[in-house]
Amino acid sequence: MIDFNFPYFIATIFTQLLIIYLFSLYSRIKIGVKLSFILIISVSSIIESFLSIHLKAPINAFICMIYFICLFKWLTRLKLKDIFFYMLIIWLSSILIDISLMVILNIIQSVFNYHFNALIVKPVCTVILCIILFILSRLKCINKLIDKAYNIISKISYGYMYIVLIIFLYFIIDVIGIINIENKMIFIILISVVLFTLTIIKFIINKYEIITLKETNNLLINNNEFFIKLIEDYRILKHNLTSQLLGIKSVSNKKSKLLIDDLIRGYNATFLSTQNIKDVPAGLNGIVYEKLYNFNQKDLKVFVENKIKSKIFDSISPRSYNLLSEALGVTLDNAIEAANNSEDKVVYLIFSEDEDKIFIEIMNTFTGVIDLDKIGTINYTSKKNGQGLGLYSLIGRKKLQIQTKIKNNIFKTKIIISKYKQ
Amino acid sequence: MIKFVVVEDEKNIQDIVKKVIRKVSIINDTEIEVNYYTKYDKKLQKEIREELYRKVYILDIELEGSISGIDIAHKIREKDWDSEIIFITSHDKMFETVHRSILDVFDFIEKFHNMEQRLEKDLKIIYNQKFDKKMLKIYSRNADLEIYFKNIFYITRDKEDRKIVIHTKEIDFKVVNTLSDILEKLDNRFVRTHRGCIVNKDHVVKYSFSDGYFILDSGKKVDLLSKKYRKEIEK
Repeated sequence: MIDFNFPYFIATIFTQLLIIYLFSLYSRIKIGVKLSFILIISVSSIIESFLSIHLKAPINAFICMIYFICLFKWLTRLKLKDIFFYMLIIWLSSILIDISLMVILNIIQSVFNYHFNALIVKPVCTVILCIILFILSRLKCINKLIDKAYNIISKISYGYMYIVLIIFLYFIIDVIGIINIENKMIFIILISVVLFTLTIIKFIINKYEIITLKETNNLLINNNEFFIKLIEDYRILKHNLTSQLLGIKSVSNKKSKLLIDDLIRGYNATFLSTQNIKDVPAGLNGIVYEKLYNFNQKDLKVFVENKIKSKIFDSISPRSYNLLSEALGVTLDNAIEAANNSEDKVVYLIFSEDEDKIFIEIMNTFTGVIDLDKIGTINYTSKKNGQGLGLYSLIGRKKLQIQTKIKNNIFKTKIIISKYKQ
Repeated sequence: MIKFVVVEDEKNIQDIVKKVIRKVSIINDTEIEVNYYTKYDKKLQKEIREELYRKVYILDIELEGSISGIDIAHKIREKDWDSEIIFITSHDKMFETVHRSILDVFDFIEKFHNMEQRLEKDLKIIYNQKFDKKMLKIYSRNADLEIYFKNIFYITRDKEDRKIVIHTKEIDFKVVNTLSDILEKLDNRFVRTHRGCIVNKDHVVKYSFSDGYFILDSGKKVDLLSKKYRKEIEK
């Protein structure tokens, strides 16, 4: 017959719900309760109750970790880096409380010479641990501390995440106290080999990508220059045509005059030629043109200011340039659509630089309801029809920094990218 | 004391501005200091950084050198959102709308069209408003929020999200906070009208305690008025 620890099953459900609650609280992502969710929690708790009896603690802990990573990825669609971070926070705090509880139990056992029943103690300790974790999670200072830690971690690139991952794995095996010195050495060697191989692969991929990106960028620059030439030709054509139409209007009858006025209004509907977009660095000006041209809204007021003097391809790497283009495209899409729904309909773009960085500031008016804590999180959009990519797709990207600020009815996004190191 | 910072490179325009400032300050019986500049130099940079006084900047847009009046306004707004900015310009309407919103510009005055009268009218309004530029500042992990007190109509509690909602003319901001904490950050124009509502008294045109609602100057009726807070509201 298969052993089944019922109190442990109840404690496991309790623990799972608490971990999900803590994850939701710390990451500020609402996790809805669905039938599939309840089923997964119940089935996994049954499995975990069996595993706790039949498997060794480190293997069990490892399976639990993989399970929670998959569960949170499915529930929240957060980046793995963020999932690791929040799990690490929950896991570290549980370990600390667990160790404290063990110490207290040992003291009670030795002082009163009383032996607890292991099958009862385990679930009871789990429940006590959950209650303590719940109380701690309600403390403002703890939440602030986690926010600060997140801000630091979010700025760290993926390379450092390997280290966090190793610490995470190491703690799982080491703190439980199962492995001996010999196994620990094998573990460290194994991790070093994996890290080294990963680094080599990453280095080769980087080299290959840079060559491809340089070729693509050269093609884009040529296309961009051609497009700007076309726009300029179009502007001259429009100007000449309008002048000729005005000439005809002066000798026309009333009906023809109305017709000509309509035609002139139609030609003036596009505002592209009135902006200083062509001064913006190569490539980026094409993006601004394309976004505004596709939108083509008459009463949208766009102002572009360029303070970048250096050649952008001499300042940043092809990969950084692509990242900057992507960020500008996403942010500009959002800004144009949000501004168009507002009363003032203003979009303001400033391109600037200092010795180390390139900055693009995109400011726009907006309207509606905005949730401050959801800006930059998945599935959040301040736009009415919810189209386009949100800031979420940009946040956490290596070398790219996104800052958002709201001042009265102005939404300000600042894109910052590092230049080549001199 | 109010400090006027005039950045204008044309002598005749400077004289007109000087005359209007003097006139308005005499009418309002206020101590003033006026500093004149013709371009963005080190002295002006120091002036912008100085935070002792509230200032009224009167800026010409086209100036000598590469730094324009708009650039100076950007430099001012990097830190200072308390001071007022007035532009003396000859630009079109679209240019005005864009910068009025982005840089919170008080007015754009055309150089050769009723400039004196318009500037006098603007300065009188600024004096009467008593520089109402207090701001509510909320910082969160994802974005920082700054709203002028005068732009806030009322604040309610959002039970579903355990957040509060700050209602302004066009936008509602959802923020993680409590009404009590927010009330502490605001000044005495804000009062509780209900367990779940704070209102900016300056925007209320009517209270109906018997029916439990108040009406805002935007015409909106809000059903969150409790008799319990009557004394506090009527103070």
